[in-house]
Amino acid sequence: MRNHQTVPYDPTPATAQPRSTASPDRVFYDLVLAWRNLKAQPVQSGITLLVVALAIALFVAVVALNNGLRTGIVAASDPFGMLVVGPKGSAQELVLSTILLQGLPIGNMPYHVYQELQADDRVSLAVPLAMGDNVGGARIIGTTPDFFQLRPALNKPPTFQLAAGREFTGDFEAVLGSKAAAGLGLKLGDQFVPAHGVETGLETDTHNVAHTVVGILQPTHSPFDTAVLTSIESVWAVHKHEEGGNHVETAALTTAAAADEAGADQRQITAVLVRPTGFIETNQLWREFRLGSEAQAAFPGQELGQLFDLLNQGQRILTVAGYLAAAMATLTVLLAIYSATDRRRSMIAVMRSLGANRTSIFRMVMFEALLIAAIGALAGRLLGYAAAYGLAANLTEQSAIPIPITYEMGLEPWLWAVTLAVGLLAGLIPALMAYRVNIVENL
Amino acid sequence: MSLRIENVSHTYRSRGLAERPVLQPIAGWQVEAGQQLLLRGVSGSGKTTLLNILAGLLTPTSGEVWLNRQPLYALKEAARDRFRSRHVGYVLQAHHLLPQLTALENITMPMIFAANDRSNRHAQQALALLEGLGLAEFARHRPAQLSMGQRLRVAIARALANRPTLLLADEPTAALDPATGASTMTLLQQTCRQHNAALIVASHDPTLTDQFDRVIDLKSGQLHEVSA
Repeated sequence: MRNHQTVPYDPTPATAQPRSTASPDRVFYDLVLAWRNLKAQPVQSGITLLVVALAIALFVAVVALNNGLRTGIVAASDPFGMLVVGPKGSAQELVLSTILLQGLPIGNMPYHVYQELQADDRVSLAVPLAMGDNVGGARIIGTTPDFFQLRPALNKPPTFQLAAGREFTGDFEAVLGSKAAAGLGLKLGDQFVPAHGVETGLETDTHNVAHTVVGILQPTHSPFDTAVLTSIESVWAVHKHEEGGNHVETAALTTAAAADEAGADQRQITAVLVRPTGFIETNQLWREFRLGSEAQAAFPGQELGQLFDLLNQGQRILTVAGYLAAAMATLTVLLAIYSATDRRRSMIAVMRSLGANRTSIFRMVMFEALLIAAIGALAGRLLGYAAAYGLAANLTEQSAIPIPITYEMGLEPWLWAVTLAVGLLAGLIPALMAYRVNIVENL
Repeated sequence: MSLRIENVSHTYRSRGLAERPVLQPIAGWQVEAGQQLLLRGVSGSGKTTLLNILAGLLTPTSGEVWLNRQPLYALKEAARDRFRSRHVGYVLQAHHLLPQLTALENITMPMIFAANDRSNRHAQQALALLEGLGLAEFARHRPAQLSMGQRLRVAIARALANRPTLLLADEPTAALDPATGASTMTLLQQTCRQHNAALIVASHDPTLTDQFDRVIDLKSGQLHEVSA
């Protein structure tokens, strides 16, 4: 303990010592020193920075991918009216296989379901779909020219518009989605032979009926860009040929020929897209199908909403993982800055002996942690969006659902809050250690 | 400039260890502007402790140090840090240049601490100091790229950066070979004379005795004036 004595040497100080307030320039100098300290140990700083970047990348990728998937699914399902009618079974699988072309169709239903819907005054548009074959992996979908009338809303133009050629009018004519045409390398006038199954590899044998490309659609950014559209009669006729050759149908499309032979209408379809005339009619139709035994009606919005709930659950789990990663990143930065500061005690003592005050030293170490957090966060954004783009491209290739990855502006305040928290929490303990460095003991 | 110490004593106290008195009360000891003093003493005699007290780095157990009529230990720590940066230069035993900074940046650092800004004039002044010490061509070199003698000269330039009235040097030539040590010590003394800074060098090198205005022996915690 110091026993200070008043010494009567000169009671009046020569000059009053002005209070020091760090100027912005002086604060910037602490930032420069912090940067130089980080640069002086590139490996340690780089690894620490990478850990922060990975934690931030996880947040960014999860949110961007989830939102992209949601936007892509909504956009892809936009043109398909208010009701999807199909065979009894899982309503969600019906919607996914019909609108997003995901998974196998859940089965078939009698053609008369479509005929009755078409004749119903409560229906303004009914479009039948019959799936079961493919060409080079592109689904062949039998339908009617009404398909080209599908649109997101009555005041909007039709979604599926021709880029070249015309709609199919006769048997074995096909209109290709934009990606299907590009992927298969087919152009107007070219011919192709369908194969069994909705995907390649399910069946390797082909039908013996050549189809001619008469039209190519403009891109719609929906899974139907990968589809091949033909008349529903063509699909049945293909299978009529196969009946003659004793082919066993696995696609469950009973042909018109078989129907004729049986003396009854056993023609079948996969689903019907229905646009009722109004809201009340929509609910009436839904209720009637629910009570019936042949088919069901599903609301795409409702089924996709349930799908989004599942996606949200996944996002929540990954967000918790992100928080854990952020906590790990904080500890990593803390450890790195702490050990670096501990090794630099003598340098800090030198700086103090040269006139740096404790606050300046504290600030410099805090800046080091904040710089790592901030640069890591910026790098994390790049990594996160790059990962989201990569995964989205991969998912799009697998599912044909375009997944747009966009800059998540709404995420920014939250990301910066996490970054600041990581920097402040990681820097505080080392900065306090630096603040308390004893000059004399460390010189 | 004037340096005066009154009744300064110091005792090291550590928890669990016996008290270790290093400096006995020193009364009325004074150094005038431009004077050059050699502080001699065996290792552990308290030379570094006294220099640290004179620099305002170590609060003495009792007494006061007056530099330019300012009682150092009446100042709060932050004010004392600022006062030290403007009035005291210190050449440390191991030179302790910051390895991540160039020679020039090591010299501008105390200027920025004292002036509270990053003006370009600091670099110009630092370069002038390096030129005076024959190191202009090494301004952009980092300490690891310099020899021990060059590092010491950069440390001297850094200590003189704010044109201090008092320059303290603790065994500055201990790590150098005798020839380099002697030439560097001469350079240090000449530079201090040019800047009219008082110089106190702590050393146990007996060959230095004739080069200083005053020689002080530190024995048993007491100062003994050998020559004046």
